[in-house]
Amino acid sequence: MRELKSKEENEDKNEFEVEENIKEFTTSLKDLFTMVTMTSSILIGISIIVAFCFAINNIKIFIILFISLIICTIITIIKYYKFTVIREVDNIKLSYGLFNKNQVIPVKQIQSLIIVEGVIKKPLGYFTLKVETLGYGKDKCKSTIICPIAKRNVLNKFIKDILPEMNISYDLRTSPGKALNGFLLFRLLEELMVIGLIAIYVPYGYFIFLLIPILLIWHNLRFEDNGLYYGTDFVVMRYRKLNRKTVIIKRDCIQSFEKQQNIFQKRKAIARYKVTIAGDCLGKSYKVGYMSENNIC
Amino acid sequence: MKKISAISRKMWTIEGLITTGIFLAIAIILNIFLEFNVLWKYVIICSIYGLALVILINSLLMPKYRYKKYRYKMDEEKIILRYGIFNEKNVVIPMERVQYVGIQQGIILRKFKLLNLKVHTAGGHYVIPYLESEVGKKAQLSISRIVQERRI
Repeated sequence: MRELKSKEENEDKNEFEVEENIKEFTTSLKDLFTMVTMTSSILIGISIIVAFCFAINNIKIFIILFISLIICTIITIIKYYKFTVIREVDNIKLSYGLFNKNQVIPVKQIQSLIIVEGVIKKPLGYFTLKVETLGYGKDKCKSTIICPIAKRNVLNKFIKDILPEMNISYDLRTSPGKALNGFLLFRLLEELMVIGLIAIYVPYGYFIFLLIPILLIWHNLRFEDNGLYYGTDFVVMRYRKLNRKTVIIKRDCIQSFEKQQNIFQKRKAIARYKVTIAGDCLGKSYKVGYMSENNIC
Repeated sequence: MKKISAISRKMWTIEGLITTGIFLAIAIILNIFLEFNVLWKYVIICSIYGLALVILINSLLMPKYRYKKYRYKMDEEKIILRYGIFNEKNVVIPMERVQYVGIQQGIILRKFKLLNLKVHTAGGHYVIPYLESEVGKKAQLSISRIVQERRI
């Protein structure tokens, strides 16, 4: 599992890691604490905004912050303490939490693997791994966390050990530059309506127009993260809504494949692709928009 | 690529007219029983009237173009659907993933000897609308035969 560009760097590292051939992975406490600080940083932001809006005293803010941080730590440690993944022949065993929960995932039922890189996690080089399994009855399509948090440079080793079936090399195609205008236009149209409403009805609301350049930069980033790869055995899709998600789907699990384009996109040979995998009555689908058309079909 | 039945144009107009009738009825009932004193009541009723008008125009003008664009194709490997005027969609369903095929036929459809083919997969279903009943039944048989052979 590596992109072709960074192939050479990773191969050097792999030579050292072959020796310790244990098919087990435990999340360290240090990583868990960084996870706590990341999640609580959102809380800190919210509390600062609240403090500005309602003008609470300074001491009260710090008390709120402190309490929220403690609660966050307790919850995450109860949930993910000693998160261990063990690969057996055709099962993946999970055991985690202070109360020692256990879970078994049959490898055959795994439909797709999702690598989530959050807004704060990505620049620091952390990721979360999820797996989507095919089940029966009520929880037909279930997504379970395989790895709550780990460093980016462990990713290759992790997948090599735990999920060698998904260990592929891929070359993502990104969106063509000519699609950028349409992307920005349609994203901004929705947001401008909300911004306009706020500017009219909220006092001092016109300060919100300062958000527009930030939004522009943000959408540019989102646009660069779009990617699609269509191989013989796997389909890889990458997109960002808030978190950057890289979805690796087995091709046998694809239920239907959809291509959609409107009149303007047709002229520029741009399309939006949608892959549906098995799920509840509506199915579970992943979409990547604004890709060049001649990829597939 | 095959086309769906030519009567579909008529069917879409009828469908549109029925929905316009329902919306108009709702709007008229609201018009009678609501007292006009606040702005939002005006907004709601006017928007329902507007919706009815839009659906009416849509049902009168669009079916011609919609019929022109609607294509489907079936072979032993996949089912391909292509439709949409402004927003063109292209759906590929691999035959291996098809679970079963159903037929949908209401009163109006039966009168015109048409049927809707409903293709079910594990992730939702797709409808191939307004096929002539002989063609539709033949298609259903052929798909179910392929599905059965795969099971064995």
